[in-house]
Amino acid sequence: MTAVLEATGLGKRYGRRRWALRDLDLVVDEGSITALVGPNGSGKSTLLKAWVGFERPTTGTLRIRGIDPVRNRGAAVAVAGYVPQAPSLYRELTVEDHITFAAYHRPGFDRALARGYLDDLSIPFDSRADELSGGQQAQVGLALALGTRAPVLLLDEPLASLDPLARREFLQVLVEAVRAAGSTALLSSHVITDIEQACDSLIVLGGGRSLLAVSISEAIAGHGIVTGDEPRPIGAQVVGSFPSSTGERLTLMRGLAGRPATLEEVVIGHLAAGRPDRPAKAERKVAA
Amino acid sequence: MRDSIRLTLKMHRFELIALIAFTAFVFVAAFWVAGQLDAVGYGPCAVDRGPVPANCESLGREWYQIQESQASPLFGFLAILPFATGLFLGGPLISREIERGTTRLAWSIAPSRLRWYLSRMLPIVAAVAVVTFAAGIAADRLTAAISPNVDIANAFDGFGQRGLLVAVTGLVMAAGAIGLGAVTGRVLPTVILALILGTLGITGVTKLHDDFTAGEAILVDGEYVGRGDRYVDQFFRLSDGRLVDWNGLAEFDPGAMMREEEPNYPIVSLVIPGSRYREVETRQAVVLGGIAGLMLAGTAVIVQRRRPG
Repeated sequence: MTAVLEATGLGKRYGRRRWALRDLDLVVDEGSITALVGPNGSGKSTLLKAWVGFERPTTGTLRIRGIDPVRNRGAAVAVAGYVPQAPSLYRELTVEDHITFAAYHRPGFDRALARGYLDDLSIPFDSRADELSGGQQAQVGLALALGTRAPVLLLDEPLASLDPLARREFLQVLVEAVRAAGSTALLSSHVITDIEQACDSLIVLGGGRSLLAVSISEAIAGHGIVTGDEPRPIGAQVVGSFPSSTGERLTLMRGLAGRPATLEEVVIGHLAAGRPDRPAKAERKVAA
Repeated sequence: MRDSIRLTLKMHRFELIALIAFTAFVFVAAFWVAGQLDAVGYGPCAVDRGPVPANCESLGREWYQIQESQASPLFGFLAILPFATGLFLGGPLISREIERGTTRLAWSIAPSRLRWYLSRMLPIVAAVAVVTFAAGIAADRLTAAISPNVDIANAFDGFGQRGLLVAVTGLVMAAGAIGLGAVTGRVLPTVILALILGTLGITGVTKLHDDFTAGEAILVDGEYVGRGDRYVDQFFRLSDGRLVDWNGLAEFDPGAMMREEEPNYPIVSLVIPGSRYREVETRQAVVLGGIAGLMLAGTAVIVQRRRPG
């Protein structure tokens, strides 16, 4: 596998004290659709922006297809399609105007491809951006990113404000486009069920660091859940504890222990472990 | 290129339509009022020496009435226009994009932010130039109407408030507002700051240029300043040939100040001849235009380095 996105010892500090990212080492392989998961303030947006040259790292290095976005931002942008967190369309312009705008500014922009995606979703080309629903605006943003035919797609919580149907449509378009073009996508999101369907790899960020970076199948197969005071198998490693929706205490274990964990439990367990001042941290030890 | 210009103008169509409509109104009104003033036929009355027609009093009343009630408000609008145009077209150009987050889309699509900046900035700067130049022409016409018997191409009447300098003032305001917008990333603070800093900056540069131009003034005998000339200062010529002001005269001849009649020393005036108007106007326009150019170039550097917000 070739690494398309790399971060080595990456740190980003805002102001004098607040580190959004710290000592982050990360690799995203070519052709994968990777989910970037983490709580608010875990540095997901900062990381994605850094790869397109919107943020300058305080420490460490970044590469996108071997290009350092700090030294050569133009080249980095040229290989990336970026979908920002909130729809960032020009409210005065129509959908067609946005395609014209992208075609003017991006060499090689595929108008037909972008139009095709929007046509399939019945998004009217003559509608102004502020007349579109949130889901439609997100689709326009995605279509513009896909129209760049960039080998790397960076999507910064594009699903956050969408209803379930719009999320499903968005992910369907994304997955089909990425698979068809053989490109690589890194998608940050809070919605675990969507990730499970669309992504093949998972990176969990917490406290500005990478807590977990595995394939989705490995994440599920490699963890188990022990409930309450249920005895923990000898040799199984505790990852983190957290309450279930019914208030029951759940403990995420590495390896085959207890019942199989869901992806959501894997993510939450690792996030709980990543919080320095939570009880889960104290429980992180090899069970006797 | 045409598409890009169209999109930029479309993004700012509200401001553009409002300012173009306002300028068109002021432009037409200025020419109409100038025509009214010309039609009064007050010219033969506005002479410094010699006989005047018998009906000058009634003509003067009518002429001044039009000037006060119509020409003066128009001059007020024309004075505001370059500032308003520069602020309202230049201010939101980049700041609104950063405020609304559209720079995230634009800068992720465009590998060259410089190309993006030029495609956004040039049509707006051109629009500012056109609108303010039209205002300058209207001010020229109105100045000619209120200065009968003066060739305003060779006269300092209304200097800085008409012609090329109106357009350049608009460009400086626009360039400053564009630059401040790129720094602050917010529209309202940009407009307020640009208004304050732009006004102070233009006033300062104009003052410096005035001082420089005063150094080129020539001496003419007497108190008379020819029509169209720019008055700089007046002096008394002493018997030993020295030129002094009132304070200097008081030191030289304290008694002269005590007498009731005017001091018996020849008066000389320091003036810039009206024939130098175009030259002085062009020089000031080049200085202000250069400053505008530097600010626009500086903004390109800010755009290259800035976070998209």
